[in-house]
Amino acid sequence: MQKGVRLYSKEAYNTPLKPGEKPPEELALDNYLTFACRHKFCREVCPVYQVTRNEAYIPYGFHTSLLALYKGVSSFEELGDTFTHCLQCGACEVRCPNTLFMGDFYKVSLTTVELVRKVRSDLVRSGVGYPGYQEVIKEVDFHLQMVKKREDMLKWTEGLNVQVGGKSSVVLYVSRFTATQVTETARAAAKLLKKAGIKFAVVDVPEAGIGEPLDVAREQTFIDMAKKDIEKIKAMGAETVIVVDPHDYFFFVRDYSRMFGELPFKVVFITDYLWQLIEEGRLIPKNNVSKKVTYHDPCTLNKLTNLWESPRKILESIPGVEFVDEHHIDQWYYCCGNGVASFKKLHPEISFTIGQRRIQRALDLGAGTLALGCPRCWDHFTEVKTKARMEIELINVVELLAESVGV
Amino acid sequence: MVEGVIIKYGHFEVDPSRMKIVKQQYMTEEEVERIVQMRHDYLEWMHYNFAKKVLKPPKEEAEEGHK
Ligand code: SF4
Repeated sequence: MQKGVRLYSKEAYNTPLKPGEKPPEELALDNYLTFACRHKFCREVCPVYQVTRNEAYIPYGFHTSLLALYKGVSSFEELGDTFTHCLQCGACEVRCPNTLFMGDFYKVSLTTVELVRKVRSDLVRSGVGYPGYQEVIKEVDFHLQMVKKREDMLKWTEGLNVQVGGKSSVVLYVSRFTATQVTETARAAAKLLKKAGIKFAVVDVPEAGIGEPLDVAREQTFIDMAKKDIEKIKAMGAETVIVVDPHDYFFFVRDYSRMFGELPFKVVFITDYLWQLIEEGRLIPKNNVSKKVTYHDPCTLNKLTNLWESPRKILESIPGVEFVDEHHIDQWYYCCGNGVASFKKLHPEISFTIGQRRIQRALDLGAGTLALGCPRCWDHFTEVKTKARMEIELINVVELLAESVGV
Repeated sequence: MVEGVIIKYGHFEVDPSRMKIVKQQYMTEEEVERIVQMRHDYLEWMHYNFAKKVLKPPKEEAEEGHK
């Protein structure tokens, strides 16, 4: 691993776990914090637990299984099943009193997402592996192939007449998933920025955009992709980077800033940027969009980066929209089911059930439209609604705004 | 306890030298702000959903009772 890059917040996570070896004491002490708590606030809030009702698949179970390894009453090989059952959604991290009520005071919090990445990677690195990890590696390789195809990666910009690369103080960052699979969202974002008179350029072309390398011991790949993108953005002279995919937003504001230190530009999520433009009167939602809409909070925004206000404000500003809100704290319990990185490839059935239940909640509110903030939620929900034959419209908040602004 | 508390980023933090058994983790100022903000949001939500009335300190309540 590259020196000087802080992969994990906790020192104890840096020692790789290996078969037949006792985990370091420092890790056991950290595990003990969650094991000894026994309140299990991490249980009901966990979307995986809500489906499986298995306490092994919550942070309490994760930390207990590592303590069992320390005490010599379980084996390293047994960790695979436990640690694949996590969406990395971050609900438990924030709901845990160790974070919510004491984390900022003691500078010790629940760090499930990092722990899950670490244990999965240690399993792969040691040759033990876990069920489904080859699929995750395939996804990483597919991504690396795709980002080399410049033409495909920039196809979404066709006919928009936007600046690609070059100098610009405002940069629009559209990574592979949105650029190739959910192009309408990226196009709507670019059209809205143009309409508001913002001079911007898109990155030519982003290489990062997936969390999977961190689940299969390809940490260096994750670091290299991130560094290249940061360098590219820096070379453009960017002061503000607008991010369309909330997974990227999570990587930038939490992972990259932990790994490399303070970033040399400001990272703003698209809905925050657009809401500011509406407030300044530079974008006016004028067309009537008569729909009954509820909003789904993406985990990477609501739980992992605490961003929930601007998508709601935008929806409320659109004439004709009847907005039925579900409080963002209530939505700590929800997830679309896709997960932040590998989960869908590891447990597609659980992924499907979580998605089905989330759509049902929207239908129970009488909503005909589920507004989204994340292209990956859109992708997963689309698959779920088709398989489950559920009638609901799925649309990104950015696209709804574009419809109302008339671009 | 008070002598073991410092103020960092405008918030109370335990004196790091006291964290001898469980080690402190790396936490940026943004992380601290995020946790503090989420705690406020959460407590507001709890209050909204579960509090029927706000109890006053006994002295204030007694004073109001005399009015
Ligand atoms: S991160 Fe999400 S899915 Fe994973 S254990 Fe925590 S609540 Fe459950």
